[in-house]
Amino acid sequence: MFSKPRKSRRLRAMVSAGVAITLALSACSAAPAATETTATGPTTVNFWSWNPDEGTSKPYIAAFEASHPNIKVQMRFIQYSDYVNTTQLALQSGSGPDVFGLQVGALTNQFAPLAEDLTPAISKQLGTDWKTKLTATDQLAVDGKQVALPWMITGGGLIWANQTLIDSLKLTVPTNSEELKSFCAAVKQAKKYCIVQGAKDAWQNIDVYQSIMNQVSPGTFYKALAGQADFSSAEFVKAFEIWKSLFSDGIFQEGALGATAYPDANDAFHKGEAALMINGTWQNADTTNTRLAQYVTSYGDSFDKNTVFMPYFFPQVVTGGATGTLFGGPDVGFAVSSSSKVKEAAETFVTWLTASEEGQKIMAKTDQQPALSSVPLDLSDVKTPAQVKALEAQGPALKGMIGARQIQNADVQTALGDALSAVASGQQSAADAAVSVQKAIAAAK
Amino acid sequence: MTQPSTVGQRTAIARREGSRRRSQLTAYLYLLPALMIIIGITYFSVFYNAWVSTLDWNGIDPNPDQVGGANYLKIARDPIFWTSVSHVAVFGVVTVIVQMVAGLGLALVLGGPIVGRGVYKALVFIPVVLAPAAISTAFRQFLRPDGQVNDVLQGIGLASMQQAWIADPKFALYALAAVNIFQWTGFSFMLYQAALSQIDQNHLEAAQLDGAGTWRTIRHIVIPQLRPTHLTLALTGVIGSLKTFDIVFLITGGGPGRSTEFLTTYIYKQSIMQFHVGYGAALSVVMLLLALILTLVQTRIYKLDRED
Repeated sequence: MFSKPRKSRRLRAMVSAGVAITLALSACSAAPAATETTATGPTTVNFWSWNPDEGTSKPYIAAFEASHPNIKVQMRFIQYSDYVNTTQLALQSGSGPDVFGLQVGALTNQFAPLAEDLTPAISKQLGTDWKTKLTATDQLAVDGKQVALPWMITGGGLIWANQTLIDSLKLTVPTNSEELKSFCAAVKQAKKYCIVQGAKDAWQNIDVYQSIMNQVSPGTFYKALAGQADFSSAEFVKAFEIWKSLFSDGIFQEGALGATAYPDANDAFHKGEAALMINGTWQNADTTNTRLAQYVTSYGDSFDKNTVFMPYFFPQVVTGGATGTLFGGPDVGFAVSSSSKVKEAAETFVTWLTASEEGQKIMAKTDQQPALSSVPLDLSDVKTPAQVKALEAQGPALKGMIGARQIQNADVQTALGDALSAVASGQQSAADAAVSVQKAIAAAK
Repeated sequence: MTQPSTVGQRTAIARREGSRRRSQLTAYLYLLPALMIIIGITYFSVFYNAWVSTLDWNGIDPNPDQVGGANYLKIARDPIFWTSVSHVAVFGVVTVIVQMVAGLGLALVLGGPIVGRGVYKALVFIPVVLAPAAISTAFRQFLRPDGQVNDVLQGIGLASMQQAWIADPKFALYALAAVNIFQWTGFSFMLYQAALSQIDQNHLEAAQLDGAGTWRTIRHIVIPQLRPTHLTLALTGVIGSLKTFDIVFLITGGGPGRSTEFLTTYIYKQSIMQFHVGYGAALSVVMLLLALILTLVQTRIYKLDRED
């Protein structure tokens, strides 16, 4: 009578213990190997990044694998909001990628200990004068170590126009603050946004502030970040005041502080709800027929695939201010994990992506500036001659960029983002905001 | 005769002892998986976090600096921490009170003979089971200056009350509270509805016989008898306010400026965006302590109330 239940109890208890032991063993055992090399099969390189995404990465990976049959690339796209944390934990636990994307600035600085020095690999690929052949490599170097290699070069300091909408309203894209005010009044009368700004996102606000500062006092912004100028000085306060006026004068849409750059502002702009959006060269593909066809899929049949999106330099918002300058550098760079078991294959992939004609020509087709300076933009898919001219005009500005777009220190970046939001919403005066950023710069030293 | 009997007794005792031990072992084996998960994940994480809070660490450097209680001293002098605490306090008071009042009101109204009662109950409860990410995305649209909230205000003749709800620091915190209230009032409603069904009908009938009207009956009979539910909702509401992250992060991101910064969003920014993992861990410990203190205070009030 009792033996069966007792056996059953014992069995259940043993199953419980088994589960516990399995849990313990799985917790203690080493994480699955990040890479696999078999005697006969190809070497697998695990590649994580937020840029490119899975779709964009396909032509690169296909071309690389075709020319390197012994290496297979396993791509994992991670949204940037999750990317930093996921990659950081994975790299530390030894289960991370062999190749990973890095953004210039704080991310590169923080991840530097987890990455290989790519100097020998890039020297082998391009020769000892590789720094003259690849653009802005210094922005991805930390204490002499080449943490990552640049893939594409982007610049901020542009304003994008929905030319089709502006032409339909019989208006002209403004080039200075006076024109901007009258332009915005006319656009608003047509029940459209003038400049749509995703001011919830600090990065977009910092881009605008840099554009303003580069007119108020060219180059001083970067000097102040390096501790060679005072961020609380009159020039910076003036730039904060001009920034504030973009909200109070109705240049930006009402409620901009609650809108994100992506998707809110970006969607509004592409759907023809706004005439202008402040963005950078990373939107260059908007001039291509391929991208316009993709927008039909994203936004539906109501999207006109003949829409002309045109890049202009940021308008002159400071009397006598210099226009036509861009700031920026590598939009993303690729690093090799120092714990990778297939470093050679990983380095081959990174140098192919960043420094080979084959890899960079794929980039050039998307109208993004390749990091390898010998590869020109491929403008064959650009919709109109006027757009081709506008993209060509970016070339000299990209070669002579006034400074880096990304701020090296995360605390300073946060302080400036907070200050801009607080000034725009009337919580802080321009002078107090400038002082708060200067304090963060001093504390970061 | 004696010897075999003693041996037999000893054998029987040994068997019983063995059986008892096996039975105890079996019980422990049953507990083992759960214990391993609780101790291995929850408590280990709490103690590991407490250890990290004594470090100056970016989360990556293999050799972090040991700084003792410096992170805690920094918290005491950090104005953003105190701002975040005040936001959580305002948010907690507003949401807990409104959710309780609205939940009780709905439970009382829908407890009566109303046509379509089941539909109303479902409508009230559905937001509780919706994903915060979905609710946040929807409300970011509703709360825009040209969103549905302002459209409704215009439609009912209150155009002067239209605001840029989440872009204006004067209103953003209250807009978040409204979203939370929308999501969690159904939970209060369900608990009150269950508690109302437990009230002794004799008390209500006696009150009515004594001439008490509806309001007096609710005030002097119903509300006092719902004390355990009030306390449960207050406790879960306060802890929930402390833990609120998703709707804040997705709707305002803590802004404009820091006008809707919560402890949770501040911890996230410090740890993930600014790479101050040690400081973020110290903030997490402080938040845990705040939750424990508030729980103890409320359970003490509950006990005193029961003793009375």
